[in-house]
Amino acid sequence: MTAGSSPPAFTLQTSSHPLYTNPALADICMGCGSCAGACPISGIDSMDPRKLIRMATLKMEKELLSLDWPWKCTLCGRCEQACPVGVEIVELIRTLRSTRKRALVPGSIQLGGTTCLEQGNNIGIPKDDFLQVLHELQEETKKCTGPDSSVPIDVRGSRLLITVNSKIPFVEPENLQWWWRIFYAAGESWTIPADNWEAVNWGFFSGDDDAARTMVGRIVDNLERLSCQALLLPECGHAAHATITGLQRWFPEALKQYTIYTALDLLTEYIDTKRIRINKGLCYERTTYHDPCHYSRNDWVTPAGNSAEQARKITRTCCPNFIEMTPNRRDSYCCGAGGGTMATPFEAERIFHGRIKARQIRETGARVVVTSCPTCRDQLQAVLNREFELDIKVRFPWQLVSEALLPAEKQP
Amino acid sequence: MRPEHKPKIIAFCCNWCGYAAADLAGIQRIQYPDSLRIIRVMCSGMVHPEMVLHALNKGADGVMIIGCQLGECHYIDGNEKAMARAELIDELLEDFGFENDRFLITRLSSSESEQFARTVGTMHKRVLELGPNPNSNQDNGDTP
Amino acid sequence: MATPDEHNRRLSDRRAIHIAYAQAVPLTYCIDSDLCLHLNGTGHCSRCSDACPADAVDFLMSAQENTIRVGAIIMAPGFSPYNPQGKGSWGYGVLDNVITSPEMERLLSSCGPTSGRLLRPSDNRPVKQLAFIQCIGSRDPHPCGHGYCSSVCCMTAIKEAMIARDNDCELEVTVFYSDMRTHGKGFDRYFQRASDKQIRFTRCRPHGIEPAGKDGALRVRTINEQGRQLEETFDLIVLSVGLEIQEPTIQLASLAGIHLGPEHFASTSSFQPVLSSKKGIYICGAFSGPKNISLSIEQGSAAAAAAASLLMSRRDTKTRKLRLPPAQPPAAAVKTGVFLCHCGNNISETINLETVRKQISVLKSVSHVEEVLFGCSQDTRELIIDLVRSLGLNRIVIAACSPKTHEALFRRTIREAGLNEYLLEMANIRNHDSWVHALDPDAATDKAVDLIKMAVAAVMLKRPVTANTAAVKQTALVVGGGVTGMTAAINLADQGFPVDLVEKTDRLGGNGLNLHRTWNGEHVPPYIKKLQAQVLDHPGITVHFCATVLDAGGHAGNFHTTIRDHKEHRRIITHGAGIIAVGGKRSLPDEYGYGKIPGVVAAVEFDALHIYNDIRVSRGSSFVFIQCVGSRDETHNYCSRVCCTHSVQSAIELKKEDPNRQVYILFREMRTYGLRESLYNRALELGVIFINYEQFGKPKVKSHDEQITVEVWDHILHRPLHIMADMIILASGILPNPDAGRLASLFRVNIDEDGFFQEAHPKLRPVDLPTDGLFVAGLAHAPKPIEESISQALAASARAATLLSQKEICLDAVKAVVDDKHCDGCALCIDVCPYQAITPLETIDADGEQHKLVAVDTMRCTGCGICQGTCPKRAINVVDFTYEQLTAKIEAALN
Repeated sequence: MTAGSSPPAFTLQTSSHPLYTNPALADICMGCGSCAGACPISGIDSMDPRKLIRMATLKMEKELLSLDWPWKCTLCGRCEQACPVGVEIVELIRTLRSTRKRALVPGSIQLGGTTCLEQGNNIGIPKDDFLQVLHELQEETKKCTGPDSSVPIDVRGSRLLITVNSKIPFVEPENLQWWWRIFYAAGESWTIPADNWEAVNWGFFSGDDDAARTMVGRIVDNLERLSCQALLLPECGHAAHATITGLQRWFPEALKQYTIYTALDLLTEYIDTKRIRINKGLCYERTTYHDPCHYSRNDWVTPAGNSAEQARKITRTCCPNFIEMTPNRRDSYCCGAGGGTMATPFEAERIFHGRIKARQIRETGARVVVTSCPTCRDQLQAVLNREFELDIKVRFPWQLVSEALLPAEKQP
Repeated sequence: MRPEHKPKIIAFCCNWCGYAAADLAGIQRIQYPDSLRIIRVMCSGMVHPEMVLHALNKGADGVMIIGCQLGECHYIDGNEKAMARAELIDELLEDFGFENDRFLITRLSSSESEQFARTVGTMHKRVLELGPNPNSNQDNGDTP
Repeated sequence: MATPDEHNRRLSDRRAIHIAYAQAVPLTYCIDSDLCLHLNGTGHCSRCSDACPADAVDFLMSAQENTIRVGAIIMAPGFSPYNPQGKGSWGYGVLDNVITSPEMERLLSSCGPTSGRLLRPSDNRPVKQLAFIQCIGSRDPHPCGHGYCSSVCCMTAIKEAMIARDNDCELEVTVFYSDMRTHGKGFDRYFQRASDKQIRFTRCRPHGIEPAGKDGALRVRTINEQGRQLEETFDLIVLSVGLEIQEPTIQLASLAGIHLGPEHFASTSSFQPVLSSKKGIYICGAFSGPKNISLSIEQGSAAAAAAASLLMSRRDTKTRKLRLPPAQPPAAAVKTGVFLCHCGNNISETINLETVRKQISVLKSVSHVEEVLFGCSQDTRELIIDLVRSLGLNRIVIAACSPKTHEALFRRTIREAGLNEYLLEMANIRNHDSWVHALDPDAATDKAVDLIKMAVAAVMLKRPVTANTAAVKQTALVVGGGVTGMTAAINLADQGFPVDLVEKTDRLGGNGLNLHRTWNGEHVPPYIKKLQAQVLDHPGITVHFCATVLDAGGHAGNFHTTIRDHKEHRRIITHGAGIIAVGGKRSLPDEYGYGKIPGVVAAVEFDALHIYNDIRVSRGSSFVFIQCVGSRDETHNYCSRVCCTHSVQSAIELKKEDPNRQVYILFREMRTYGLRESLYNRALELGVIFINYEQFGKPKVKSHDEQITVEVWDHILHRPLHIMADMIILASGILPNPDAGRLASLFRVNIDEDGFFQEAHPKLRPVDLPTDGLFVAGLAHAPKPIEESISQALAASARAATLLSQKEICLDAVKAVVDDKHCDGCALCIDVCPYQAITPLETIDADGEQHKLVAVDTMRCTGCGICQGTCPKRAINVVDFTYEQLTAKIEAALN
C-alpha cells in the first residue's frame, strides 16, 4: 500500500456524456500493460497509455480532459501495435484531443490551424511574400537547372500538384531547391498552387476534424482547378498520413481519380523508370536510416505501403556504408517530436522521448542519419544531436538524390 | 589411512505410505543423504522386532520403520501394532547394548515427500553423532 | 545428409536415416525420403544399405493404402505448438537467445542437445538471467490471431523455471505473465512453491524483445506492478507458446466430416465432451480444446467408454487372446539375469552403470547382466523374453524405477517368456537413488550396487507361486447420484454391466440441480431430466435412494459394500468395481456482509434470483461480483476453477439485458481458461469493468442507509475506487463432500490435504484410486465444471469396464503361507490379523500324532504380514516378503 497520504478516491458511475461509444477505444482492454511497456514516454506525469485507457474505461472524463499527456504523446502508434486485443489507442488519444476545449489546446497547434483556415497557411505568410520568395529561389536554382528552367506556379494541365510546408520558404528554402532539381532532371510537369498551398495539416493534430477536412478539401480543389493528374503528398510523415486518410474518409472519389504519390513513391518511380540517374556512392560515411512512424509502423495507409524499403534502397545506393538501427521498420522508435508535439511547449518531454532514439543512433556509430520526415529531421539534427552529443548530420532521401543527380547533359 | 565410515541406515517402508513417499520424493527430486537402504514391506506391521535387531547386529548404523499415519493404515491397524512393538524393540536394543537412538519408528502419508526427506536427514545426523555401529564391517576395508 | 532434428526442436541435427527419438515404438531406424539422396532421386548413395550387417535396409519399401471397416473412430490428432517466427516483435528466428517453451524442454532434458545444461544458443555461455514470456500466440487476437487461452502454458513455464533453478540455484528467473492460470488440482500450491524458490513473477506482458548490445544479451522494456517502466536484460528468453490446430489436422477433420469451431478446435457439446459432430466419431485430447495431460488422459478413456457403449453388441467378436506358454518347471540351479535400465538418462546421468555392471557380474548367482535404455519399452521386453529363453534365466532382477510403477508389466513380461511371474525383484535405483542423490554420483553408484545386491539376494530365495484366480463379479457400484454418478452408471449399464447406484438424498442430480447453463450456454436442467429418466428407466441400474455407505471390504473383482437405505435396512452389495462420485459442496461465505446485508448474495443464489427476475435484480443498476470468496485462502488453498467463468457469464447476461447497467468484477486472477477466454473478451466488449484486488487487498463492503458501497483499489491507477452497488455477488468456492474422509477410510483410500479424494497418480492415473478396482470422478476428485465431470465419469467407467469385462482375474499371490514344520499353533497371529483370515487347525500326522497349526484363508488374506511380524517361530511368511528374503536383503545391504 502507499505510504503517506492516499490519492483521492474516485466514485464509479455511468457517464452522462460518454467520450466514445465504440468499445474498441478502451473497454476491451485487458490491462496487460504491453502498451505501457512499449510507450517511450510512460512515466511522464505519472501517466502511460494503460492508465489513460483505464481512466477512459472508468469514465473519468473530467480528469482525462484536464491532462496534457495526450499532447505529449507523439501518436507514434507503438502502443497500438503492441496491444494484443486491438485497442484503438491512437484513436482514443485523438478523441481526447478533439474533445478538449479549443482554448486549452497547448502551444500553437490550434493557432496554426486557425491561421491556416483564415489565411491559407499555418504561419500566415501573405501571398505576395510567398510568390516573391519563390521567384528569388528560382533565380538561384537556374544556376543548376539551366537558364530556361522556371518554377511553375498555378500552371493548369500540369501532371503533378505539389504542396509546400509553410516553414520552408523563408527558413529552409534549400528543401524546395532539392525537389526542383529533381523535377527538372526528370522532365516532370509539375506545379505549385498560388493559394492554399499549405502541406501541414494541423487539424489532424488538434483533433479538429472539421479543420482537417477543410484543408484536405483545399488540396482536392487545387487538383481540380489546375486539372492535375497526380498529387505529391507532403514529405512530413503526419502530413502525408493526414492527407491520405482525409482523402480516404472525405474524398474517396479523388483517390480513384488522381494518382497519389508519397515522396518516396515518386523518387522510386523516377529511379526505376530511369527518368533520372544518380551517381552511386557519393557518401562513404557510416550511415543509418531512421524510420519515421508514418513511413513504417503506420505505413499501411500509403499507396504502396513499402516506404521503409523504398527509403533504404535510395539510402544504400547513395551511402553504401550502411548500418541498420535495431529495432527498425515497424518496430522503430519515434524521434520524439511527432504528433504535433513540436508545436507545443513540452520540449523536456520531447527530449525524454527521444532518448531511446538517441541511444539507437549512438549504438550504430553512424555519422549520417537519413530520414524521410522534416519533423524527424529537425528533432534529430537540432535537438537530439545537441542534447545527447551525437555529432551526426541528418539528410533526406531527396536531398541525397538531388546531390547525386547526374547532370542533364549526360541524360540520354 | 582408514577409509571414512559411510553410515548405512536400513529403512523398512510400507508399500502404501512410506515407500510411496520415497517414490514421490524421487519424482520431485528432493535430495537427501545417501545412507538410506529401503526395504519394502507391505505394512509396517510386517516388521518383526528380531529383524530390527538382526540389522543392527549385522552392522546397520540405524534402523527405521516408516508406516502410515494413525487411522490411515491400508490394513486397518497394522501401524498401531508396529507402534506397540516399538516398545519391545527399545527393550531389546538396551539388552543388546545398542543406543535407543539407532532405531526410529515414524509415520507419514504417501504425499509427504518432504517430510520423508527431513526424517531421513534427521536420522542420518543422529547416526553420525552416535558414531559407527561397532558391528559394522566396514573397518575391514570392505568398502562396498 | 543432415537436417535439423524436429524432436530436439531443431536445436541439433539428425541424418536422413535416423531413429525419431529414444522412446520410439518400434525402436528402429527409418529413412526420411525427402532428404535421402537415393529416395529423392538426386543421387545414388547406398551407404546405409552397404553398412548394414543384417541387410535390413530396403529402399523399395513404399507406403501402402489399406481399407479398414470399423464401427467407431476415435480421433486424437493432438495439437501443434504455435510458431512465433516472423510474428509480433519477439525476434524469434532472428535473435539466437529467444527460444520457445518446447525448445526449452529439450534444453533442460538430459537426453537433449545440451544434456540438460542451460547454455545460451548464441555462444554456449551459461545462462545467468532467464525470463519467460507468457501468452505467446494465445490471448492475442491482434497480431497472432488466437484469442483463446492455451491453458497449459502457465504451469509449463513454472515447471521449466523450477527445473532450471533446481539445476542452478544461482540462476535468476523471471516470469512475465498476465493472469496466472494455475487452476488445476494442486497447481496453486505449486505456484506458491515456485515463488518460495525465489522465482520472480511479475504481472506484465512485454510487447517485444530487442537486442542489448552485440553479445547476444536481450532487452525487455516492461511496466511493473507499481506502474514504473523498467528496462531489463536477460541471457535467454523463453516464449511460452500456445497450442494451435494446424492445416494437416484441419484436413483430417474435413476428411472425417466433423465440424470445427472458429479456432479450428473440434466442436463438442458440454454434455457429450468426447463426441464429435458426427455419430460414431469420438475425439479426445487437445483436438477439442487446449488441455493438459490429465484431462487428455481422462478424455482418452472417456472416448473409449463411449465407443465401447456404442459397439456393445459386437463386444469380443474380434478380440484376440494372449496365449501364454506353459510355465517352466523350476530348475535346479538358480540363474539370475540382471537388467540395468538407463531410463533414458534419468538413471545413467548420475549412476555409473558400467561400474555397477562390473560389480554385479561377479556375484555368485548372477549369470547375465544386460544394460538397456528403457526397460519398459517394447523392444526391451522382447529382449528380456529372448534372453530368458536362450540363456535359461530363472530369476530376474530389474534395476530401474519403482516396483509400484512397472512391477506388473515386468511380471507379465517374464510370464510371456514362460517363467513364473513371481520370480522377479526390482531394485529401485531411480526414485530412491539417481533422482535423490544427484549431487554425489559416486555415492549414488555405490548405493545402486547395494540395492541390486539386495534384490539379487532376495530373488534367489523366491519360489514359483501360482496365484489363485477369482471370479469377477461383473457388476459395479456407483456411490453418488449426481451428474457424474448418473453418467458413469448409464455408460456401464449400456456396456452390459449391472449397476447399483447409491444416492444419499431422495433425488438424482446432486449439485447439477443448482446449475442452469454450461460455459458455452447449453441449458442444464433439461439435460439433467434426461439423465434422471435414463437412469430410472434403465433395466441395468438399481437406484438406492436415501442410502449411505456403512462399511466396505473386499478387493478388485469382489468387493462387498454395506449400505443402509431409507428404511434403515442394511444391505450388502457385492460388486466387481466401484466408482466414487460423491460430489462436493458449495461453500457459504462468511465475509463481505453475507447474511447481514440483504443485497449480498452467493453466486448460486444469484443465478436463481436472476432467472426468476427477483426485483433486486430487475431493478438493479449496479452489480459487483467478488471472486475467490472461500477459495485460494489459508483454509482452502486451492482454486475452485469454475467461478471466474460463472461470474463472467452472469455479467454478460446482466449487460445484455440492460447495457446501461454498471457491472464490475473484482478478481485476483482471471481464470477463463481455454476456449472460455472468449467470454472474458465478450464481457469487456459489453463494458463490464474488471478490477484486480490481488495487489492492494480485499475490497471492503459497507452498508449505510440501505446503500451498499464497495471500496477497492484500482490495480492500474493505484488509487481507491468507490462503487455504489445494488447487489454484491460473492463467487464462493467448492468444498469437498464433508463425508469424504469417512468414506475414504471405509474404502481404504486417502483424501488429500484439502479433503478431496487422492488419485493414484495425479498426471497419469487421474481417475484411479490407489486401491485396484476403485475409481473416482467428478467434484469428489476436485472442483470442476460439468463437462469435465462428465469426461471423468466416462473415464472412470472405462477403467471399471476394463476390470469388469474379464470373467475372472488372477488374485495377487502375495499372501501369507504357513510353514507346517515350525508352526506350533500358538495362535498369536490369529489375534493380530485384521481380516480374521487365520484360523486354528488341528492335524494328525502319519504317526498318529496330533499337531496344532494355523490355516490361512487366501480369499480373506491381503498379504499385510502383520502375522509375520508377530510370529515367534518365523513360521508364517508372506510370499515375496518372507523373513528369509527380508533378512537376505538386510545382509546384502550391509555386506
